[in-house]
Amino acid sequence: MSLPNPNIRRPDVIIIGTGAAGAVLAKELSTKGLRVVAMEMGSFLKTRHFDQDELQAMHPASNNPDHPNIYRHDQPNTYRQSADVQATEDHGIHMQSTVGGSTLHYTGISWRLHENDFKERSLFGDLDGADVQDWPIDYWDLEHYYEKAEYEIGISGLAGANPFDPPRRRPYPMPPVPRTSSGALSDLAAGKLGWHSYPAPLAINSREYGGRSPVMNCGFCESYVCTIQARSSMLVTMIPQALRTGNCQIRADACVREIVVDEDGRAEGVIYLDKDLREHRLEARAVIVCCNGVHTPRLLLMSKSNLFPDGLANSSGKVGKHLMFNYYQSARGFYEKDLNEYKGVMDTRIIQDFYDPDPDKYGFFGGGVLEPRGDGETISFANLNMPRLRRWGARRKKWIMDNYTRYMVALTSMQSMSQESNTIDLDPDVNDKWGLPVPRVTYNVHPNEHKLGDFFRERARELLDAAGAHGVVASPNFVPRGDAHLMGTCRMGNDPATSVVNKFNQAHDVDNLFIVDGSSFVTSGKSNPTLTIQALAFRCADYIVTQMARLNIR
Amino acid sequence: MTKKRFSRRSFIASTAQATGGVITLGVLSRTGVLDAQEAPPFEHAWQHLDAHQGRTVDALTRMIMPSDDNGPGAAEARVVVYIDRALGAHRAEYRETYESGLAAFDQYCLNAHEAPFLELDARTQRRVLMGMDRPRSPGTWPEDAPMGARDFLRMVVTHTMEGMFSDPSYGGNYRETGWKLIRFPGRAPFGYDPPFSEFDMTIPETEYPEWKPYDGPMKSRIIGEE
Repeated sequence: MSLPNPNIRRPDVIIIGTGAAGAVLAKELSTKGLRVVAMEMGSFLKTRHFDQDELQAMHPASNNPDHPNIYRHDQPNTYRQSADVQATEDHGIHMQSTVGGSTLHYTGISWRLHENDFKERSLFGDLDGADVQDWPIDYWDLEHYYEKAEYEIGISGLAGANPFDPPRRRPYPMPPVPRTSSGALSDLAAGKLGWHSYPAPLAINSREYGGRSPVMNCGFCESYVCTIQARSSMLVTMIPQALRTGNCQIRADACVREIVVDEDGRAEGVIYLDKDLREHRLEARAVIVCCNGVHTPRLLLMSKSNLFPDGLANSSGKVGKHLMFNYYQSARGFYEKDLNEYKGVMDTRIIQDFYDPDPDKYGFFGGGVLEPRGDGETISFANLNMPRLRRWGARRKKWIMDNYTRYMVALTSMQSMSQESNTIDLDPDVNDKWGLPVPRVTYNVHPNEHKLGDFFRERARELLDAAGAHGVVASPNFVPRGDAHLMGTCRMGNDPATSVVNKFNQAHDVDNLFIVDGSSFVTSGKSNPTLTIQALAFRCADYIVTQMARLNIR
Repeated sequence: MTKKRFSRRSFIASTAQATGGVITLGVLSRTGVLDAQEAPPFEHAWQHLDAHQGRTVDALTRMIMPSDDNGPGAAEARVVVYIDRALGAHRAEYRETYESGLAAFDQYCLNAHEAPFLELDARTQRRVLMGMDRPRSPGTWPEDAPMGARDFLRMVVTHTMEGMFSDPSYGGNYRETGWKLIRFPGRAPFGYDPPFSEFDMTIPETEYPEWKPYDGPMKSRIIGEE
């Protein structure tokens, strides 16, 4: 069945980006009767374009026409560790820029932030060298919208299983997906250690939901696009719902290069480039930017005008500042018997016992989570860097044969400190295929992250040991050059001097400009920002509708 | 072209039969260390490597994933076919690197062992790779090479693993040799049902407390309803 994709020449709203936030807004606003054009710089690919093919999903390195550009690092950037060194070309930023965004391939872990996440400054104080602030909203501003996201998008999970979960009014709409071997070993270890291993809340169907199939445990999970639409990605949930209203157009292969303003400083519309680099102009009553933590600030910084010489909505100078990832550490445990982690959903258990430990007792700020998991990737496993083992030869071959079915990974994910010096700006030297400056990432860890890393690496080891591993290999601390979790670069706040958007994701400087994605996060949380991004989008949609109804936004 | 009959130990590079770019591959280096698991010969028309480069890459992949008593290796998986094809497709940006890297590699073998890699016996071939697998390139590695010895080796290793374990449609992993070697079933269009292993079968499911709706004050704020 082919869905309508009408040509809308005079939309009420232009949405830039069709990922976790943009697709939710497109669906919500078009359902309320607003005419929406949603722009996407990548293509409008369908489920049939994707395959259970490790090479296609994990290792492509060129834009060969035979291989659609579906890789999760498909937009170039540059990276430098500090502002006093030259940036070099890099692919550290994970971002899929086709319709549906990175929800096409994400792990799908979808938990709610905890009540404490919104007020860390008040609870734990400040930290030298960091800029930790409270959010201008709290958990109860989002609770209803979390629930809405869980039901409308389709999240499976088990309410009550995690003793650290924040309060909720309704359980999950679906039970958890089947537990994998790594999930079972997580349960075993947690039982011995007195921790709480609980079923991961996932944007993956455990039963038929929304007309889509239940999970089939094929193992081609994270990094792959689900071939049976069991993952609740935007491409198979919000996007078709938006199109079905007849009020929404998806304009793909359209790269917005500038948001233009009128003489009063209100957003007038966008200028974008099509596939053939032809320039087009589109106007609307409101513009919503949903390009996430790297490309949202980049677009605002490219949108310079007489009224906004330093970039749109940037009177505070904070656009592109406070870039946050989620720092992570992992250990790999090897077992005597088969786990067969090439079967099943990537991550079926979470442990939140160290979500926000007392800084005075532990000597570090913030906390993290354990996400024990498997990965079935054969090529990556064969090339794995292992101590005292060459990458080639008979011993390497034997090692791959003996261990491919017998390992699991204890991934730990934790908080990144908000630092003003971690930034996105426009690279002065490198342009992308549209001739636009690529985003330049300047990022270094705060020393606190390495303290967290040390602590969580040991918890990862403990978990794998308690589960009976005969060998554990852990990764050393490192400085991330990029990540999939991209946050903080248009932070939310009540004070226009120190933040970019207000508590409704509306730009302080431009009342008909909204910024909804990871960039409005004030703190990073411990991992998995997507459900919160989606909840913010549902909430912002309500706000936009009420404002437009009251004619506050003409 | 007519099929050429091989005696098992007859192969060296100079005897390779190339007719119209088609070459027969899959026989042992002349030392014949791999007798038991000898891969049957097959024909392949070189696409992006020339015959000498192809032979050399083939020999390198056999050192990287050897055929031995534990099972088949790069030869049986036809990894060189994968690499040759990939250099015209999703690995096209490596073509020049192979070109210059292989030239440097040839020169290095001549400098260090006074013979091309293909003419060295298996033990020496292995020593050649060991010499390259160090943080600093050996003194006999050409100074003007655009990449270090280890970088070149790592690149071929990475592509060898791709050819071993990628989908057979890319030309390697012939008849799912690589997947069978590690007991990976490959594509799973219909998925799997639990249990997935003895672990999830035997470790009991945790008993979680039954969820009850939150009975504290519900303070959820809904926009438009306040």
